[in-house]
Amino acid sequence: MSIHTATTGVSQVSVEAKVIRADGTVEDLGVIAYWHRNPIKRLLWRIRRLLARTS
Amino acid sequence: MPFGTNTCVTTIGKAIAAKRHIGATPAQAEPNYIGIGTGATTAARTAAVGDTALSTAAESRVAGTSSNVTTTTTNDTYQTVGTITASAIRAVDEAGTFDAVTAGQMDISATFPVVNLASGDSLQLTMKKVFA
Repeated sequence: MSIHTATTGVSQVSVEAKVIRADGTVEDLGVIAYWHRNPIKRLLWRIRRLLARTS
Repeated sequence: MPFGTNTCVTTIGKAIAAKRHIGATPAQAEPNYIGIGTGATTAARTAAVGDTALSTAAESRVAGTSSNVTTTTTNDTYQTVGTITASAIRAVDEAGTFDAVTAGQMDISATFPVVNLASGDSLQLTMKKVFA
């Protein structure tokens, strides 16, 4: 018999942002802050964000 | 610690989630109030689990619209969405969710690159916490 314990902690936290200018223009900034319990996913997000800024 | 981009559930936020399990009408209020601030860069603060407040809160908190959404498994994510309008020029670099419109306890803490707002501009934030 095997025993399994479910892990239900927080695995990911993110903040998405949109700026709505006074004239009605909407600027979607996407995910502006991100955390994942897997450090590789955190690193990938930072790399993707860096690439998006430089492109 | 210097300023950096990060977001996390605070240590108090973990207690908030645990307390919300108790009773048909939990004594613990829902942490759906969203606040923004402008002081993380100056304070050289990166969001961390020990956070209890924003460095320099700006504008009043708003009650976000909360829901359960799906990230990996059905309804595994707590999401709250709120829009805050700037009453003056603001360089927003921090945000958080709280369990009260003033004071209260911080659930999610976030620091991020400055978002510049002019007076009358609004910032819509979608804060997500995934349990999976």
